[in-house]
Amino acid sequence: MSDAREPDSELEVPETRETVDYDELADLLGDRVIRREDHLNAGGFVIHPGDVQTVLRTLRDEAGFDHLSCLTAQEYEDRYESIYHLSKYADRTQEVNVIVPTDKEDPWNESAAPIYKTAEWHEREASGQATGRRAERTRQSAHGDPAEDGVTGGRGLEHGLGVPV
Amino acid sequence: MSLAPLQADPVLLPETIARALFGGGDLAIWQEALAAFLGAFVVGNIMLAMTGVAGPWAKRKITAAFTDRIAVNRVGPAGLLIIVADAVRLLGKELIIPEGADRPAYDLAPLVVASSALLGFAVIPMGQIFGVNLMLADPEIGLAFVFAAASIATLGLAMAGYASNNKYSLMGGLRAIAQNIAYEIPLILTAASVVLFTDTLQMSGIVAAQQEPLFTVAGITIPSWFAFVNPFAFVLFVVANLAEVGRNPFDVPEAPTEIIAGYQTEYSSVYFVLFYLGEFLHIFLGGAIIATVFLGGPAGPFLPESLNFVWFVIKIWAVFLFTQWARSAVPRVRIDQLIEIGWKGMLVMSLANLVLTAVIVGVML
Amino acid sequence: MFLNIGPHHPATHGVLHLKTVLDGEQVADVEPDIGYLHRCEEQMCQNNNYRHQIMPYPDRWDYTANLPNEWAYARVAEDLNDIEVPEYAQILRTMSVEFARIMGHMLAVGTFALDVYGDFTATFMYAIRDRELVQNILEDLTGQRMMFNYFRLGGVVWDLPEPREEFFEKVRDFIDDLPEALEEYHDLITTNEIFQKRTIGTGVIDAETAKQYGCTGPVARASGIDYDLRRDDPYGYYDELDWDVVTEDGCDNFARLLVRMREVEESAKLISQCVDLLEDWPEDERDIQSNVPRTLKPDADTEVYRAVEGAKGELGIYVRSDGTDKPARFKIRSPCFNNLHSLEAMAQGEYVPDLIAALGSLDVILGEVDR
Repeated sequence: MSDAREPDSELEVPETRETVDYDELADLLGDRVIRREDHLNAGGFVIHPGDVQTVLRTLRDEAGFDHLSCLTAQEYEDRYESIYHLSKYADRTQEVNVIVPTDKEDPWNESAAPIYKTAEWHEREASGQATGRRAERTRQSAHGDPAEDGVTGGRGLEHGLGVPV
Repeated sequence: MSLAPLQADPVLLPETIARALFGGGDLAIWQEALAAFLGAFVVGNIMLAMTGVAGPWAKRKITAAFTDRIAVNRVGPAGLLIIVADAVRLLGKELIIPEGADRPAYDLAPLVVASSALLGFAVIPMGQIFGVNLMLADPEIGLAFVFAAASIATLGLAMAGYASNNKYSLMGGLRAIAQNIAYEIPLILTAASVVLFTDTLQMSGIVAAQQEPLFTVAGITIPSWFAFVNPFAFVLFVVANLAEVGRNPFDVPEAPTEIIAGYQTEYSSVYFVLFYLGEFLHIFLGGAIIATVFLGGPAGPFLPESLNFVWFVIKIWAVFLFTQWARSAVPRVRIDQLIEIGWKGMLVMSLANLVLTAVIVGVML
Repeated sequence: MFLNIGPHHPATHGVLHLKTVLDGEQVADVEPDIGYLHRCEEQMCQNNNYRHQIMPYPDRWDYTANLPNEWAYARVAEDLNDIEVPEYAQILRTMSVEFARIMGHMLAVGTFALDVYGDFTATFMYAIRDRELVQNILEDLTGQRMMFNYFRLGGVVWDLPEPREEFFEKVRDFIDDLPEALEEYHDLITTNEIFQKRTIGTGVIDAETAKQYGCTGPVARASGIDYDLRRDDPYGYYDELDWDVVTEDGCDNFARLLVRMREVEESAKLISQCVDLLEDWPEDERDIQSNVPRTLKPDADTEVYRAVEGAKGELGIYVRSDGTDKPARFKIRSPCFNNLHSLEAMAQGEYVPDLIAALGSLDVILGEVDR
């Protein structure tokens, strides 16, 4: 092992990462945090769909989470949910999840593309997966349609990313 | 060991045929025409047999050897029957003509490409086989004629690129034109430096000029082939020729991984065969020019003069082998780099070579 | 001029469609249109149970270097179900995955050479030959040449083939011959001046942009980002072994190729250490699997996102359980997906040949992009 990170004597043990102080992050985000969640890999904050850019910008610029590792979209019975899995290039063991629930009738959330360029593609894919209906997709501009939120810089949903819907 | 001097004024092939058919004496114009036609038929078929039949098989085998493979070995001995299979496959395919193709141009392009190369062989002194001189004509402007005939191919490529109604074809055609203009000039300037030595454009004269011994090392006489007299010009010519025939590192007009197949993207079946043949013929014509201008034509040791066609074949195959080697091992340059090398490198060097040769020839001879 | 590069094009490495706008021969804009190889992999995983049925699918994501994908699923499922993996099995996993990484990188080097050289090149055949050697070894180990399906939750499916000595010898022969083979590649490719002219300074993406696009793996490391999950988020046996993370500062096509070639050396280093360990392992402690219940039903609404370092970069999987034996949501984070996104930044203003070269240097596997 080339550098000496904490020795992991027990291999593959599931654990919530202790390296991140989630209380501190919660203070940082203040009242934008609706609720806190605990995922197996990291702690998470539930936020309002309109706060995505502010929260992610704070986490990136002030807490150093410069890596949007993944964006998961999923459907619950009562809501859609997007999870932004953030991490750091400098220390991959530090993770935080940002959970954005959104209304089923009018699914929308702010795009993360101005903060993380990679969100452009992830959100386009997610928008298809979350609704599961093509008719919805044009409207579901939440994720990356410049026509509606004007932030993602010219890539409309009409291109589609081949997500089967 | 010395080389057998070539016949001072060899009998050309049409004349040989005419003598055999009609006896000596004065010939009517139709008799001359028939003899010339038969001669052209013979030479054309020899070249087609070499390029169209042996070429593709040899290419498979040669490339395989370069890339650590075996290549065809199941169909017939050493895979030789693949030639038949290839022919049936290529000719049996449907001829698909794209919608919106510019018809006369689209149809003519493959013919122009293939025939221009064949035309070039008319003035190449290919040596003798059993005493029969395989040379169709020996005009005074032989060398200029070869280059003129070979460059007609560019017209064919441009036609194909434009007429196919395909953007990749268009790009390929444009690239072909740019490349041919950029490399034709160094090619001809380099050949001109040889003409300064020979004082003639006549192909037989150029060959004859290379028969004098240059020097003798350990009992072996090195003939005054221009490859030995002026190796710099030889290298320049070989490189420019690679670009002329569109082989790595200069295969940008086709560039399969970039623009699919360039000008021939939309060609299938017989038209594709003509293109394919045309390309092979051009490589062999390039080999023939190199052999004639720089490698002493059909001259070579061991064999009697009446069989020196064998040496000629060996020389053009050596050039073919070289192009295949380049293709297997050398990366392709980018189009802008290609043009840069052509105009800023090759042109300057070939001009310098020409001027230097002129000075040396003027002072020494 | 608008130009469709693909979906049927010799250089799109599968079925990728690049909507390209050209200005002369230069690229004014490029937009990848993906999805031609979409096979509902996530949905299929959601329809199958954790214990046995999902494991064959990861092999179909990045099908040039399959085993790291299996580990991605194994890691997330083992974390989710609290499964221990015996140390011996961890070594087997590490070794096999590094072989797969060599496989993937060899193909990447070979196809990159195709893109830059044109067809009929020696480099491609050499790379395939070396890849075949690895496939032979993995065939001995797993019984398969491509879809290995070697991992199981809690370990691997088989121990080394008997007689073990023969296997070790085969592996060592390969490792011993590798430096010479790599030297051949350097002679053929990296020291070639035309090749350098073509690749150095083209397809440039700086570290900051690469981070913005979420680039990982060799693409990120060639831009000087020192980021490798095998070290930064240790799993398996990597933190017990002596190896280095390879980075290059070139940020260009050439650097990405160099990173891959140097990573092959690192993988070989890891493999030879694993072989030493396996050879000396006491016979009665060769546990290849831990005890895993027949049915796995993680608690409802447990959510986990875990990633491993695949051959192409960070391969992550998010799983949400709903109390049944099948995942309620199974999401794959594919490194190729992110890396392909960065193509637009690399290709802007470059010539078409460099667009093709940049695409080749990204080493995208469409099976993984589209999933």
